[in-house]
Amino acid sequence: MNKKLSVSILFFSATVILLTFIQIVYLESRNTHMSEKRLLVKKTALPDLALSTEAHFIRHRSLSDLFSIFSNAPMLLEYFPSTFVYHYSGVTQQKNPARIELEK
Amino acid sequence: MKSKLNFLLFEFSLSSIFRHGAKNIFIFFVFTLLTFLLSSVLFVSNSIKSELDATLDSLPDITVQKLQAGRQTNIPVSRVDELLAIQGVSKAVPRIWGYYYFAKAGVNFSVLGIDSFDDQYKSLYRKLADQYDFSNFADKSLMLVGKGVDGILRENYYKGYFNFIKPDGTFVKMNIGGIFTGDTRMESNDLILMPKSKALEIFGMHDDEATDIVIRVANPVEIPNIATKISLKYPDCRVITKEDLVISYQNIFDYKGGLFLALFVISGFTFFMIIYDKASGLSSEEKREIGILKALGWKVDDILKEKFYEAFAISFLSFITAICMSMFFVYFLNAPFLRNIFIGYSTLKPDFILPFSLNFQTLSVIFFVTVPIYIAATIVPSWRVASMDADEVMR
Repeated sequence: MNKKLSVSILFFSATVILLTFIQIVYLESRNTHMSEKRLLVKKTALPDLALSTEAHFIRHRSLSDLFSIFSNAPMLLEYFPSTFVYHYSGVTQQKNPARIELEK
Repeated sequence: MKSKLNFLLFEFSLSSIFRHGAKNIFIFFVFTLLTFLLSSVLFVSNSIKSELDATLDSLPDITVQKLQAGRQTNIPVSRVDELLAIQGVSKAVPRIWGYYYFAKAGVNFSVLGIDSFDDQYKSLYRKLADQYDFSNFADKSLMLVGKGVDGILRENYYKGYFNFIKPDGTFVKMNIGGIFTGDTRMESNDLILMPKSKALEIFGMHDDEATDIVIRVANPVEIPNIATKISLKYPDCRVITKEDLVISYQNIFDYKGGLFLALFVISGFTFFMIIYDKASGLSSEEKREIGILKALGWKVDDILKEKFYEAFAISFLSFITAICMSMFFVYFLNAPFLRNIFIGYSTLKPDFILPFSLNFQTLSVIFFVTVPIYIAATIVPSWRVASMDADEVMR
């Protein structure tokens, strides 16, 4: 058995595992600004992330108009995931929403 | 039977890996690459989701919007008092907010009117803003903008101020009093905070109107109950609870998850092709090796153990390397290329830092999809050969 080879392979694995742990520890310590984010969201009360801003129904989609996309054309198929949100009548369909179910 | 780790056998396995060097190195690379791709995608998705979930608790319990002809319209502020009269409602705040389309850059800013700038709020914004000067906020027409907004304004030669165009065509000049810190970028990138009176002026709204009303409920169990009460009391209103927001988040991630499923299926298919290739039969050289070992007096048990060590060493090392690499790729390099799947097309792209969230569920899914399958694909054909007679194998 090539002793050098087996030592080097063990050294490599140990390095990789050590690196992973160092990364985890460092990244955990970096996550400190969460409280500021919560503060901002609490103050502004705006949901959703500012990930896309090309249309007004993208950012804060959950608080946009109902079926905003129909202002483009009623035949238009939904092309943004954010338009998948609509609200059912609170009176008639309290228990069983037609399409969307919350997975838990 | 007590089985201890046999170091001699383990060393033999390691040297066996190097005896078939080129093939094993190739497998190591492909395995690492596929696991890296898969875990990077899952890490990005996880951290965005955890970001959403983390701020979910800070959101108001119920949002009430008034609808007219299927569109959202302004809600009378007088309803705030009536909503407060409902039992269980601890707080009801009318909000002024909306989008301001900046045509030159093709961007929607989110404009939010803030009520009071007493000391309490001032200290709060001092925490959230980089540069900060709100000595007399309303008099000086100051606003607080996100980093993305500031960038876009600078690009369009607005240094330190912006001229909003009112519905009647006249201008409202607002000076930038502060910029949100980069840490809150994912939430504040497109945000403009300004005094309520100015926001009303820019939107052309009356003093007795608000965009919507947000409600806090003292007891979370009562939220659905109160939501029903509100929608019965005001049939023209759309009542959005926190749970609806959770559903909408879920939909987004289901949709994006579909994209990843496609990616995953492709990489999975490639992976299984390699596995199939390996499992469909050992090379004659490997067969002869097993035969020689048997002739030397090795038991089937020993051969399988040796093969297990070999497969485990390769697959586990690839797995750990891939996880290590993808952590670096996602959280230090901020996932170039891959991130674009999530942020989509947008002029005001936030240059955010993905928050770190270690999800053991994801890690174990990646582990169980890769490592045991590889081990099985190595052991099963070896077992088939090893259970034959030695002379039959070698012949």
